[in-house]
Amino acid sequence: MSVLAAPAPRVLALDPMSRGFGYAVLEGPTSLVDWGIRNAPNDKPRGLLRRISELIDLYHPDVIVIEDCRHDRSRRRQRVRAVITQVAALATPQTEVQLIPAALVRDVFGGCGTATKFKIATLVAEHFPEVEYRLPPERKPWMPEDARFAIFDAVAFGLTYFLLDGNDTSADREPLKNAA
Amino acid sequence: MPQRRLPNYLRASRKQAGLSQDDLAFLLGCDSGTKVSRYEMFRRQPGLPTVFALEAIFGKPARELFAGVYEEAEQQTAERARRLIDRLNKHGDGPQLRRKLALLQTIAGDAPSNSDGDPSPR
Repeated sequence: MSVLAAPAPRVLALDPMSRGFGYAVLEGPTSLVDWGIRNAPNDKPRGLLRRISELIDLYHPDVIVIEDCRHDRSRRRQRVRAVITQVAALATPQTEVQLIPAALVRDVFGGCGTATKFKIATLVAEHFPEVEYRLPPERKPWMPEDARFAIFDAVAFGLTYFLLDGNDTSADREPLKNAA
Repeated sequence: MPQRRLPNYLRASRKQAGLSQDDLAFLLGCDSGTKVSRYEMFRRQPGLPTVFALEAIFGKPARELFAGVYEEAEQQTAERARRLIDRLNKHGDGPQLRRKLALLQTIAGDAPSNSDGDPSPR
């Protein structure tokens, strides 16, 4: 019997964006193992997928959590949608891929979909003070979105997975492999 | 459940402490953060003095910092203890052997089969 506590499932949460992706690796809702932004050169999905693949090889996650962008309300670009669909091909047989709608994350963090990206990021920074230094200022209408929000979005997706206890509570949520 | 822990949690500990790889390399007496990067990418294992330095820096025991390495060593030792128990059971009986078996059964994670034996010396 090991003296170490039994580990929770290791979750790799991803938030692809135009220039790369934000990621977070969690082992339970209170253990943030790694986080950051990986840039993909030349804005090519192949480079993006290669970098995601490197993270999967490094951390061997039990679950990959990524946004479900098949909603009508999803404002993801076609390229990012294609990347999300192709992430399933990178998963190993031991790795499950879970899609979580962004609306569900907003419900979990703010209730009734009222939480903004900044509010969610602030809550994430309160929960994990170690990422607080990456928190960007609140976006004004004339400002472009700060890439650092991708880290907080990824952590929020990972936390949502744990807060829902890995259960599929949304009718739209299903393993990506089945959808691809 | 994950099949096993990560070999080490140096990156998490370093980032939580707000240190860069170069900062940590300096504290460890290395020239650059390259070595730290290799530790974090699980491509290289630090030596014992470095492990103790990491314990001192992060204030966490080595078996937490290197949870996967510890877990693997623990499992392998338990397996060897089971093999040694099998080997020793073929030799007679005696107080010293019972003490030895009690320790080995603790290492192997088994309940001692002989309740009147000496308590575990651990």
